Amino acid sequence: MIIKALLILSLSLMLNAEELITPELIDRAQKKYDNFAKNRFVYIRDELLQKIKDKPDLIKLNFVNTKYNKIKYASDKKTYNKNDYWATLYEFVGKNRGDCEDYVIAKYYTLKELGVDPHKMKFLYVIYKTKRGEKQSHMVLAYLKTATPKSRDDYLILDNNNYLVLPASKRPNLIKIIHMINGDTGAKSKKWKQLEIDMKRKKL
Amino acid sequence: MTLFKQMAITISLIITLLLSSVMVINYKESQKYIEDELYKNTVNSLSVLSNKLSQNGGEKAYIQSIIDSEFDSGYYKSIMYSSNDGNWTYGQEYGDLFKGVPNWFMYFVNATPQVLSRDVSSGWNILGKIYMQADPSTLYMALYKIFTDLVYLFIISIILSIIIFSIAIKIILKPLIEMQKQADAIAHNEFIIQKSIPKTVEFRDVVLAMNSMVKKVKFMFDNANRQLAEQKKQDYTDSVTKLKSREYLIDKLPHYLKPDAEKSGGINIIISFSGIIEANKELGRREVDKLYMDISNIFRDATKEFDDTIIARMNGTEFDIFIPHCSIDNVLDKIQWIQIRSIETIKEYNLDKNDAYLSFGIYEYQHTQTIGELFSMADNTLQKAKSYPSHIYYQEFDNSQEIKGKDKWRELLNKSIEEASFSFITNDVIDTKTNEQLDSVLNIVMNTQDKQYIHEEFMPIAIELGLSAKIYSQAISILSEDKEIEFSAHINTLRLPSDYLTSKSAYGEIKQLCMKFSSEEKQTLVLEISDTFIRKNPALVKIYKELLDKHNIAIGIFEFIGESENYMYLQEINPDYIKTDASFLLSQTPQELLALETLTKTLDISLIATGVTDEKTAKKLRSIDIYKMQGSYMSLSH
Repeated sequence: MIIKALLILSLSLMLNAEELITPELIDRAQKKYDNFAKNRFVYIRDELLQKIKDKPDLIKLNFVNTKYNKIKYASDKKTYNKNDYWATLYEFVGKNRGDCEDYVIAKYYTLKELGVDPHKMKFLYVIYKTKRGEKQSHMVLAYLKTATPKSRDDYLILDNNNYLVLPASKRPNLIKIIHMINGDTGAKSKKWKQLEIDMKRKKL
Repeated sequence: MTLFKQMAITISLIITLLLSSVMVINYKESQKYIEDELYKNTVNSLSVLSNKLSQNGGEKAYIQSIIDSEFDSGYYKSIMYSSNDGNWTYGQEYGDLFKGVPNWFMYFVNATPQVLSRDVSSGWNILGKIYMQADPSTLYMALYKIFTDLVYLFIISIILSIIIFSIAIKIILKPLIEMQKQADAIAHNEFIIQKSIPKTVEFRDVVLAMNSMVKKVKFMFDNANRQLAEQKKQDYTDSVTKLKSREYLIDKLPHYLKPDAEKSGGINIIISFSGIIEANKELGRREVDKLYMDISNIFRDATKEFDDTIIARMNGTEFDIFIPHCSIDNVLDKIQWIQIRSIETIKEYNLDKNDAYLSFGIYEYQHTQTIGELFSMADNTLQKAKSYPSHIYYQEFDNSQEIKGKDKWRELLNKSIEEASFSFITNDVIDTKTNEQLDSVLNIVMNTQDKQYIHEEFMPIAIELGLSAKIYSQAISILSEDKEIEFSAHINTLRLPSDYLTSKSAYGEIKQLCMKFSSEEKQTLVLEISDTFIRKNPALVKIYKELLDKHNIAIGIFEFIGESENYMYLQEINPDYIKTDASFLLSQTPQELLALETLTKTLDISLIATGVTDEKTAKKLRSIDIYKMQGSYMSLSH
């Protein structure tokens, strides 16, 4: 009996270590931020990751995009006093604000947790044209509908500026793709390595 | 420092130097290579990036996005863009660089990649300049990795090299260790022949030379040993009775007849055999010799219970029985027993007891007497004995004054022992060839309220009263503990009497004394033990020898007259010197002296003549090549 209990406990601990949101993280978030932060993480764990885990990718994309887009936009300078910083999902949710890269990172890891194939997701450096016609450097998360995309129709865009997940062809304000990088599935840059380290230790 | 240690240190230093040099060169080359590679990569990246920027006509959003994507996708310290007019700049930069490399390493390496720049142009128009600096963490981490790997390799190489060289040196120098053992043995006068001859030519020659030298010295020693033993046996033994000879008694008497003799007095019996000429005529020489043998055995039987008894045949008809530390009461019945037994024996040879008989002249000698006085008294008592009907005459020593004095002495000595009121004076041992002082002989002095008594004044009575061991015990404790005693810069020597050496406290006290002297660099000590004690107490002497060796304290031998049948014990004891009475040396034949000289020189032992009291004796000693002397004359003349 004791051995069985120990085995279950060990297995449970191992599984917990793999989980995106852990009770320990929730406690830390509450201590570092507030109850609202705690509630946001509890929501992600109990609602976001539970409700749609068996749904098709498109539903997952929309649901995740909508939920994370509710978090307020703020520049890295304002949030972290740095020109450019890739925040972890935990920092982003904990602080309840972030810039376009932070949305992309949070959506990427959440979708991955929900079972979306990471090879299908790309980080896109794009030129975004505002309603006032101003061109901005911007980042969005792209979901590849096919393994070998050939046109803008083959990309679904998850953008913090848009609650709808639309094909790139329906996003005329994304006027140019500057660069496209893989998530954690390809060659890793210095920033990616640092992000992975921070994600692993659940940096809040 | 041993040769092995010296070689090990030298080789270790060479290996360390070589490996360090290799490590430094390797490291420098690696650093140069990595820096070159980093430079090339940065140049390549800069080229690609400037091309990308050129294609977008200098629009800020494009420039930002391109720089961001490039920066996020690669390994850079910074990428900066500055417009041509200087009004707009944009860039990305890492503040905290990296982890995993210690600060001290970065401080010493200081390998900052260059900031490279390139113009960004669109057609004929130069839009701005792009600056790029590669991520130094790549450089530092690579260098640190190389550095740690080299350090590990260095440590492992050093350890392995030292182990391999140690084994190699040990194998190469193994013969040298054997040679060292042999050299040590030679230094300690041991004759060891090395059987395993090294194969290394230089070592082999040395070992063969040493073996040859040891063989020669051993041969000389054995020869001298045998010669001296044989000559002494011949000189000191009467061929008929196997008793000691007159020469032996004369050589031995100085040890008993001197102011600081261990025994203050005893009994001397001179025995004359009358009627021998007639007996020779009646029985013949051979039968008389047998008779002598039987009579000698009676002497032996009668005196076997007394220690240190000397029974000597003085001439054809006279014998002497010398019994130190003995009173008349203890010997009178023995003499009567000898007389009865001799009469019976003479009867057995069918001789008339009125014609053939023994006469006994007995008297108590004192240690202060001279040999001449002793023999004079012997003649007197024997003449009287011959004229007495009983043929026994006892010359009583008037010791009434002495008995009275003994009580006072006992009181005085006990008080001095109790109060530890002893100090030391020194006599010199002089090398008369160079007129240099060799040793300072420490003599105990007793300090009382009224007077200071020198060794010769109080020691004989102390010996007689059985207090000498206690006095030495106190004196040695004073030597060990009193820091105010000023020792000579020469070798200090101290004579240890037999009574003291056999006392219970002696070992511990001598150990303390040895420890004191072994801790002093400038002062040396030699402890003297009598030749008789060494030969009669080999087990105890071995214990003392081990103790003294442990503290590098040498042994000296005194009262040597060469009466042993084998002198190998000298090799075992390995004394610094042998002290023998001047009269003994002067009575030796040239052959005996030569044997003694060879024996001592092969063992590197000095020969010192003691009891040198006048210039005449000193001159005689010098004439037989004895130059090291001790005695009252030396103290006066030096």
